[in-house]
Amino acid sequence: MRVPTGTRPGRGSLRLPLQALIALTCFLIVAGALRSRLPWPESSGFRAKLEYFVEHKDEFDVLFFGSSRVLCGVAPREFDEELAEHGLEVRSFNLALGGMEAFETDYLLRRVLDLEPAALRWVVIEYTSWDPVGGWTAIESTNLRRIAWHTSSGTRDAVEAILVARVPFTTKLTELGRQARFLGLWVSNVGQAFPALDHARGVSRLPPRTNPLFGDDIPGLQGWHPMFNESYGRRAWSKRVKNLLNAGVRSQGEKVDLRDFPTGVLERQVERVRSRGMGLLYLGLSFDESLRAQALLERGTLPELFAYTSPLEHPELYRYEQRADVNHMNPDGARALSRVMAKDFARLLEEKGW
Amino acid sequence: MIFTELRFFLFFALVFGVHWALRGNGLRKSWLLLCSYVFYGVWRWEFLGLILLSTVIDYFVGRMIVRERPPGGKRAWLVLSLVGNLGVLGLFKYFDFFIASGVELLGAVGIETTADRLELVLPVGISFYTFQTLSYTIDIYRGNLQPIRSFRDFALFVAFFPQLVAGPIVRATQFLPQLSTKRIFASINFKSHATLFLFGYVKKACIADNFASVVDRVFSEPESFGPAGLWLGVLLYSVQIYCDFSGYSDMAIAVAGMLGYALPLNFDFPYLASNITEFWRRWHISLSTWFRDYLYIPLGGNKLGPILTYRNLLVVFLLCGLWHGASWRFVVWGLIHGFFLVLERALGWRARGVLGTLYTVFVATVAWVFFRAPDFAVAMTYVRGLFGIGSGTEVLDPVIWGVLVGFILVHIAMSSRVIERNLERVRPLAYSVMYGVAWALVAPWVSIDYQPFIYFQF
Repeated sequence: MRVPTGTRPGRGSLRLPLQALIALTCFLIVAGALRSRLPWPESSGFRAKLEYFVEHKDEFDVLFFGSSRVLCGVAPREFDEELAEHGLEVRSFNLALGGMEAFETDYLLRRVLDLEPAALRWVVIEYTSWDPVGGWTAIESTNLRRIAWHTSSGTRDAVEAILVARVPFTTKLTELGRQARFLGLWVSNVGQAFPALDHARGVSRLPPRTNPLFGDDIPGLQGWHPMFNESYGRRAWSKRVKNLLNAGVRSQGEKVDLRDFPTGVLERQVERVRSRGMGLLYLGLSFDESLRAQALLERGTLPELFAYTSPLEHPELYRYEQRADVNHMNPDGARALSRVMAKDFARLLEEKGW
Repeated sequence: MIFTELRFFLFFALVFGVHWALRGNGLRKSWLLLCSYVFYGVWRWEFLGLILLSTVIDYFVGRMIVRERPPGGKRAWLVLSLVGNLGVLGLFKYFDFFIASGVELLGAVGIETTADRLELVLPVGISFYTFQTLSYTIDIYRGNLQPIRSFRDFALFVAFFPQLVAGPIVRATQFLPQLSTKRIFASINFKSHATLFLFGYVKKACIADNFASVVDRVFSEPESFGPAGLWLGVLLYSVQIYCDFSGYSDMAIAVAGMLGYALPLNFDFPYLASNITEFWRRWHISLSTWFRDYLYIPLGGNKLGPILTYRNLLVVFLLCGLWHGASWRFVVWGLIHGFFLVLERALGWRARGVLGTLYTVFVATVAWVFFRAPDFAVAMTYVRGLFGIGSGTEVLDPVIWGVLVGFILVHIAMSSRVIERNLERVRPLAYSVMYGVAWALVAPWVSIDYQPFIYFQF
């Protein structure tokens, strides 16, 4: 294309900003309309799981959200059976996904609540780091899952967390720039055309290992999938458990500083669930986050917390035979954890009179 | 920072707003110079020193050349400019190549030796701004240009951010006169520039970047593919490199234009040329005319008889190949083009029409194999495979052929200038609406992984 070299008669200098504003408005309207028709991100089985849930959304009373710790550690059928033994009829679903951190979990929670699942009474969320600077959110890689949670509210939450984070000013600026970029990618639907075409054509780009995500019997497994089955040395595991015990002893009475925690973000999440009349429970499965989670519970920010991070308190969950690796349960471990959790859950319901 | 990144949009909005808000021409130029250094410094601020070095050398050389009376003195200053600029370029771009080639050559004659490589990072855009500043001193030496008084203006000529890192290579005679007069906001055709930027963006981010993954796959294992797959792979690369580079040029021209500065046309539908000679009048025009004016003509051009003309053509295209990269692959690529230029001249043959276009595309496409392949061995495997001398059988998704045909049809339609002819008729309000909608429809096709422009490496 050649640009005409001739000049045009003078126009008011306000006309250009006005035209730019009109163009921007049209861009946002059309981009928003397109976005509402986009499929869920496919990576890590996100879409497969969500589409299954959307189809069956009114069947579940309890939903589990979280990372691969929950994905591998919670077996809904075991959880439901244990509760049934306590006289409670529930049907739960494991909505956790590998690599899902707090901001993405919050996004998923919003989307799920917007679907207004008719039977949903309890939401169980793994407590993971809300640190947008040092956590998974700070990883450079750009993918559609990461972009998906950078909605205006998701980005606002991340910005809030960055502003209170105890990091150098330049790091804050870099991170704020990163969030702005992701917001821009979300607003403009960058990279969405080909996945949408694939979705329309029924083509999957997932590696065969994770496709299908749930194995052969989706309703039976209810979202639970044994991700790992790799070996981890027994001696190494014993050492790890010993270290956890020592660390637990050392941390007793330790004061946790919550000034760099984005309290408002968490409070909004709690309010979002409560305002719909649902119960909310947090799960502590990571030792690294256990102190902070405990402090937030004591301060009243977290309504309820089931922490399974201490080998001293839950030795039955720290047996070598139950682990797939350091962070994940194998199917035996998942059954054990789910049973323990269900017992605690039944006790909580009784205590609260729910 | 590259033109397709979100941060560039924010950067440019700031540059644009402040530029036109400032009243004085001097202030505007100072602002643009500052922004140009920031634009470059975001990549690697350390290499700003090289731009400044080149700027200082050529600014003073330009002034000294006109002061000198005897031709020998003028020539000495010119030599200083050539040595300074080409020395820096040679050190960063060619030192390792010549060392490695020298070691190989000595090894071939039985003298085993080793030499340490510098492995320096190639400063982005060094080939572009080096040629640009050289044009300044050579034009002054030839008496075609008076040296500029203002150091700031000269620095802006060297570092003007829209064309700093990947051209077009702007001659001092084209750019410096624009700096002496104040840019008038009302005289700018924003509609054309905005459209040109969008077209450039689509070429780069939607076409070139999306073709890249298919091209990378084919070139990473050409032995697996049958002739159809290999032809499709290299045809896609032909489109990729054209869209990548001409897309950058379009955006550069548009960005400069919105700031009130005109940059020269760099591409003019080269694949629709009827022969290779014409191809080089349409492909990377600012480079081919630079070589014509500062190398081919000084070598004697076509005035010294056919043999020396052929020599001149081959020398120019050998150096043109080397300009693109320090590798024998680029030399071969340049020589293929040089060979066909010589052939066309020797036979007096000028293909015409569709047949000529097919011939041009065929030659240019096969030559691209040497440009794109990671090494010479892969290039040869690829070329053999193209002509059926290979064992691979893999094919690409037939849909890609459809995409390629679609691109060709759009390309031919665009060459009729249908958009330029109709653009002025569109009312401002309708244009704003269409422009916003167009961006919303384009953005989803952009790859989320930003790919740097291919010509940045040159």
